[in-house]
Amino acid sequence: MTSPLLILIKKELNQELRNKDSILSMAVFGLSIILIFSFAFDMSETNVNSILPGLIWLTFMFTFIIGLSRNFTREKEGMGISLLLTSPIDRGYIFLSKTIVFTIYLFISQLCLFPLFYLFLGFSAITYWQLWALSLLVNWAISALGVVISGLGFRSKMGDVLTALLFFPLASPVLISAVKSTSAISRGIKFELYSFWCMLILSFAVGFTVLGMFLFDYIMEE
Amino acid sequence: MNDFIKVKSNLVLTIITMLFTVVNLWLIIVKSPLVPDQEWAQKIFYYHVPLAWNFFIAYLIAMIYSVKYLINRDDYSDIVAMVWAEIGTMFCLLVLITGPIWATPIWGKPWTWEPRLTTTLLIFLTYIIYFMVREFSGTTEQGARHGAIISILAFIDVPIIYFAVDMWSPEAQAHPGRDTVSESSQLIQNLFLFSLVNFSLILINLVKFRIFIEKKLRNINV
Repeated sequence: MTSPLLILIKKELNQELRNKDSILSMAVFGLSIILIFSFAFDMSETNVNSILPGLIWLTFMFTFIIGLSRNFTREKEGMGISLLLTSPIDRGYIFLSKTIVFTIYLFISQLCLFPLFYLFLGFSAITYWQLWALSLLVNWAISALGVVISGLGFRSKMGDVLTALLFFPLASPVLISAVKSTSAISRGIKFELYSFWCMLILSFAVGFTVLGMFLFDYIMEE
Repeated sequence: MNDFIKVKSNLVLTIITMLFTVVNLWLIIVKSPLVPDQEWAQKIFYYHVPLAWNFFIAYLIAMIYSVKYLINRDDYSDIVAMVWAEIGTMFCLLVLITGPIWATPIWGKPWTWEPRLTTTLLIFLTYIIYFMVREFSGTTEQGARHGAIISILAFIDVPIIYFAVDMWSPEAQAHPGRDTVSESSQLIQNLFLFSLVNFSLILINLVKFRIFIEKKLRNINV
């Protein structure tokens, strides 16, 4: 375990294992959103399949924002981030470690929440492996973007407001593609017919990762 | 304005732009032929499409100068990036206004959630946040840096607007211009080119004027 990236990932996971606040707040918040959605929308059987993919990804976007803000608040407490930034490691690694860790957190919250979507709203696609593969890809794309934007919010006076403001417009192409792919998967459509959307998510994932590696240095300046 | 046109090249450019604009207006209203199934609505295409091309170019230049600013940290790059972003956003707003004017008679409704419209609105929104960040981010250096980062992130959106409509083909609808340019007569193409040159001149003139003002403002303040 000498690579800086591995050390950073271990640090993030250790922190999380100690108090579990990011994942717990993500899962609980996700549950409460599912409840609110099921009150707010007409969940009759004819209706539910057309709006469910959208609801699912909106829920994960919201839970992601909550987890992200918790993580960066924790970095602020006890000057964690200042110490991290003074250490002689490339800041790209800090970005990568956070992206990887959030991909995992999101995946864990999906492991908790997808069964609830099945239980409460009858979302039956959770047995398809394509859905889980798609989830990992989307998680990576929005984590990369989210970490960059959270870094901006962290340094800016606007704080979390900036994160929320900027995240949704920039993430919406990914959100749209995720919703289209999910609805295709749940209807059992062949991959060739929705591969365009997956390619779109993949290109955003690559784009945000490359930009994040390049920009994180500039973002984290005082 | 007086100081601006005291410089000879600026005066010449301003006069040429004004002449072009007057001639262009006359050409569009009097000379351009009516397209059979679109009638008068089609004439907005001489405004809408050049505006759209120019806002792409403006955002591209804003992005290039943002990268330059992050690397060199010079005031000039920051001013140029901000000014191109400003004028680009104004053009983008005009595109978003002229689009629905064309769409109301042709599509029967002013707005559809179709890819090019959606992504144009998204990039407009992102640049609104860009100006908010610049305005609210405490020190100007931080505002400039964060602005540059947002400008780079937002530019990921632009190429996708371009490719989206072609690849999204089953759901895509006719846009003002796209088909008209390739299928129409030589006259329409020439008029379109004239209009394009006209709007590029307006763009360059506005940018020069705005840079002139911004330089003066900063010299006084700093």
